[in-house]
Amino acid sequence: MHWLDDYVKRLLIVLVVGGVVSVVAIALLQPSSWGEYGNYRGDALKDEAAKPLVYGDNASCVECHGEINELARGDVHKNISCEMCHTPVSEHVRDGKKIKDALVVGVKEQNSLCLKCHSKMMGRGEKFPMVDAKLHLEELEVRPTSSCNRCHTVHAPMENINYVKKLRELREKRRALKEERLLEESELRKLELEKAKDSDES
Amino acid sequence: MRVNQELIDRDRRGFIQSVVTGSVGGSLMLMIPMSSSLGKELSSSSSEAKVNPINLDANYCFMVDVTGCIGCGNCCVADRKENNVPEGQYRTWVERYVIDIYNTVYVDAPDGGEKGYSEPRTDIEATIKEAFFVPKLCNMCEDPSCVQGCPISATFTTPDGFVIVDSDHCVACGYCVMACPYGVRFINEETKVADKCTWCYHRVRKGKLPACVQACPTGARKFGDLNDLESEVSKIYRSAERLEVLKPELGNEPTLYYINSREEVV
Repeated sequence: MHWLDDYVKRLLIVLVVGGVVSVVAIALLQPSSWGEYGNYRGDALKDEAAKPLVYGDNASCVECHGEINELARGDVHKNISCEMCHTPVSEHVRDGKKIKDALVVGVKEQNSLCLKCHSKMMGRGEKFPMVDAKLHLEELEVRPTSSCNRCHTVHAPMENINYVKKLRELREKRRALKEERLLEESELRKLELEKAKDSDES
Repeated sequence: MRVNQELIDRDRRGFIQSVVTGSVGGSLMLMIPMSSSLGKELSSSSSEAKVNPINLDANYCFMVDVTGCIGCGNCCVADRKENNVPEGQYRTWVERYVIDIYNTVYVDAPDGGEKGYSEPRTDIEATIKEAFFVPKLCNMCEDPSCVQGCPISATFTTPDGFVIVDSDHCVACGYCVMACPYGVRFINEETKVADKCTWCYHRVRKGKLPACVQACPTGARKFGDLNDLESEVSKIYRSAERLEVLKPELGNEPTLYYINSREEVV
């Protein structure tokens, strides 16, 4: 038996041809960026990273609307992204130019937007400010159709409330002072009267 | 006026020349500051913001504070818009856990929590003991079973630790969808290939926070670099805060941590 029998030759040919075909196929068919970062298409990573942004961040809004931002940062809504209630910045500005007005939530939709977070619900945490909208309006004796914005200006929700609270506090204080003074005066008058009586008697 | 007339009479050509150069120069001077401010605006608000090089020093992680979530669904809305996810499919969603006095746990997520939870559950007869919301998203495992399951390396872990899908290479065999123990993957109805939450890799590479983190009004979702000692996540990581991962027994080593999570959460 010779080592280069026909069947050995045939096997060698098959192996060599198979090897060559696979090397050529890999060279032709494998994406050029394969293995750039690991065993995958490197361009996939670059494509993913280069996807366009839809949302910006508050810094993109501040460039034109700094005053609103300043107002909002000073109140309880300071952590809320502008784009959450308005539209994503890419729908409003492109290439430094306004392409469409940003969404301004109307009175009708406004309450449902506010109540998305602030409606009374189990699981929201005790510290989180929640209201039962109907009850809240009844308690405060305002029209049941009032929008939240009437009292809570949406960008600085506690500004008016704090103002009114302070005003009420001051008024209470003044009233208490006045009552005190009236009381004092009446007591003084009483004393005077008594004195007058005493002098009359004597 | 008389002087001007004299000037024009003396040298008409020169007068016109100086008028033209003056007006061109003046308008140029008006243009320059305007165009420079335009350029500034472009840099931050354009969708073509600069892609930063891969940050190999970073150890990115995501944290979800279960007690902080109020179930408003803003994160899901932002995610859908940012990543163009078709209606009815979710890269991230918010589950509501309700526990009654007999310790029966009810979990629901109507519309993936996207429309917010403004109505309480009415189908539970027993008195409800407590309720909480749990946002779910990709766990970005260090040893991801979805990557192991992919037969053609169409899903992979990037050098900075994000698991993403090569949508041009994917053949939608669905092995990764079955392999993911957290149910995060799905076959996108529009692109017809596998899709998943990427922690907004395109935003992170541009120096921005993931869309859901930015949309969260209570800061229940946090994203950052654990190696950056000044970042919020690394401060929480080194504090006494109770951190948990989902299904740790599977050995996927998630890098999504839950703060104040509960044993009922799976």
